Amino acid sequence: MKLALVGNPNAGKTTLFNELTGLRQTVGNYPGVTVEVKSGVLDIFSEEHQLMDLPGIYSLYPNSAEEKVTVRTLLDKDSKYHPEAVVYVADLTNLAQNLLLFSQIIDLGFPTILVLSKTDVARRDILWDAQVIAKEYGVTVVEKGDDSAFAKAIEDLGKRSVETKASEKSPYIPPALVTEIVQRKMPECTPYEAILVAHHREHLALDEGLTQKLGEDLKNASFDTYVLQHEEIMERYQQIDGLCAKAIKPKEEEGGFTAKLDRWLMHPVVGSTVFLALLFLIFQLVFTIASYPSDWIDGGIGFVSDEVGAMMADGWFKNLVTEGLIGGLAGILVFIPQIFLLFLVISLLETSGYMARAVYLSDSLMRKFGMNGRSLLSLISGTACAIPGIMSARTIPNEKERLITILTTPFITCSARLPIYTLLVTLVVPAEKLWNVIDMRALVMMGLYLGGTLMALLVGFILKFAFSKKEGQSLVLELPRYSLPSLKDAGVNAYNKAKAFLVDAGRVIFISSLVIWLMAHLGPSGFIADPAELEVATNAPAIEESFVGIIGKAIEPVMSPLGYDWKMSIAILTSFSAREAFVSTVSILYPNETTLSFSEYLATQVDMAGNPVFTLATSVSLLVFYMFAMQCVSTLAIIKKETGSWTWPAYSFVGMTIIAYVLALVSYQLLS
Amino acid sequence: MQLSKLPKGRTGVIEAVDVSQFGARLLELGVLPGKTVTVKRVGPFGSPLHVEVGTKGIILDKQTAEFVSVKAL
Repeated sequence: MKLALVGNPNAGKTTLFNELTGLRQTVGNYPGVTVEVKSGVLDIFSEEHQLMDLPGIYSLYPNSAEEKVTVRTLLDKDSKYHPEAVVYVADLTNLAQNLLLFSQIIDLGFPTILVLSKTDVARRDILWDAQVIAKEYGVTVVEKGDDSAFAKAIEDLGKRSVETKASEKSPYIPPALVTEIVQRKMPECTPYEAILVAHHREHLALDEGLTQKLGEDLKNASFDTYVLQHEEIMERYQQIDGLCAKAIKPKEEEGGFTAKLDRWLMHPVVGSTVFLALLFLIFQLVFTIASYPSDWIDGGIGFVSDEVGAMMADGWFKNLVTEGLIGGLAGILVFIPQIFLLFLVISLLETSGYMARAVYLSDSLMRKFGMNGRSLLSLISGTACAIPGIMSARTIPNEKERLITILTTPFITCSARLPIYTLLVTLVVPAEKLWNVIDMRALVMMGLYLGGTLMALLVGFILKFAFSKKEGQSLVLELPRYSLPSLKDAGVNAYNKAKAFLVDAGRVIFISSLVIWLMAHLGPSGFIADPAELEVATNAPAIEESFVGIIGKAIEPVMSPLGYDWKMSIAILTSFSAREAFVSTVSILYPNETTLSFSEYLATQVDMAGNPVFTLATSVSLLVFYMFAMQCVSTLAIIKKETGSWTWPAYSFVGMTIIAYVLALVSYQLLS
Repeated sequence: MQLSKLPKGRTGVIEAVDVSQFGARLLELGVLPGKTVTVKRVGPFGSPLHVEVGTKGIILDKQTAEFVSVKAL
């Protein structure tokens, strides 16, 4: 049997899903949109059922892309995710709101069981009578944790044939004027299905002519989707309020602990300080702690590469395998610790109820830049790496704010820019102290971080107006009570995110870094041995002969106004696979055989006319270029994954490159 | 008066919620005519509002709070 878990966001669906399926779950993408549908196997009396965790919704009138997927899945009988029966999860501490969607699901005619969640939290504040609810809706009600009752309820669901006797007792009777219009064209619809088709006709996979005809007929009948939604919600709540009055008795004043904690955590000064401290801690976690497992992965890959290399004969094929293939794989795997840790923390913040407070504190500030309170988290994690930052933007419900967050995060200085910054700053900034206290190099580094951040905010500010046609901004959020988060749920979520990255974005990253490697090692004359090995023998960097070298030389006229020679142009090309590759490429092209440090050595280099190559103007121009340029194929791959098309990565690449080029040009021309 | 104009700490009875997409979301969360609403606190820069409807906490920005008409108690 195909079962779907349905419920409000935060009702405890995912916890139940993890308990029921363990790690036997797969995460699929709903066709056409980047919304995850998790699917797992549920064992009941040695019979296997398919259980799907659909994104949480508040009612059958969705707002975000994620919510639309759930509604479409429930309405579209041809969808491969369309369930035969529903397991509805309702949060007992917030029962009235949770029953709104439940009463709509019942009216759709799904065989349904109701699982009451968060019973231990509810026990502190209320007494309840599950039988009153069961009788009102004619469904089996199970309390979460009662495994035998749950198993029996599922078994009974399977025995029940799909009955559509629904809406006998429904509190909502859809207006016949509207339902008849739809039923005339689609006679198989029940009245409630018909009204939903009327509301959602444009989002369902209907025949185009039919959608249009329905639209016209409905317009003639002065159908107003919001008026009808308001009527329906109010009529349903009338019944639900009456039911809750019978089913629930409050014990005492509710929410004492939450109110006390909120006095501090939502306080303008104390709360903001705690929030900033938390962000700092997350940054440390992603940046510092993740570097240990990343180093192990690096070391492990190096070991594998050596072992494999030792088994193979020298030659281009060995280089292809050890550097191209294994190296490309390493380029994906090093991101995994950061992604895992960040999502572990995000899940913990989300399920503890803290995230809503963070949004409250930062929303009005972020909104000035077209973003949302949650965007701050993406931007902060962008200081480690844009990839987990962009992935975490998925939790932003508003499409416009989410897109702006995705497009601005790559401007934030990530850890891959550091090797370039370090090299160039040591090259041009003297190791002196300003007024004997402030380290000049540290000051310039800080300026580089600041520059990236300001550009991110500026771009956000501009995009806010550029996207003004998209849906308006509105913040309406439940303030959940604090609860102890589950480390297991957070771990499963982080695991799923890391896996999705590996499978989806990993493929693109792997292929493109392989292509860049091949272009640097293949030329018109065929395969070129590893440049590092060859240069020792001939003292002439062979990368010059490769396709990358040829392109690098070809684009030199474009790059020379920025102060770059063809060697730097080549380094810019190879660093497209990962920014830090700039440093390694430069070190291949300017082989240092002296005892000087590499930056000192670069400072001594002169061109054919005897002028220094890495002048102040050139170095500043390079710094400015890397501060703003989208020099990262992995980031483009993740933007593609998160937005579902190559349109946004293309805009991002072109836009960032233009900004970087123009500003680098201006700084070079001013300084030279 | 609009909920956005209700001063911090004051309580009112919800009279109506404007018919719109955001209005529908407010209704779904239980911001219903006839219920009492208290403004618990106001965020930095005057938005968002933290209100309590019955025993339930909701955060909403100032513009969205304009969709709700209340009668101050």
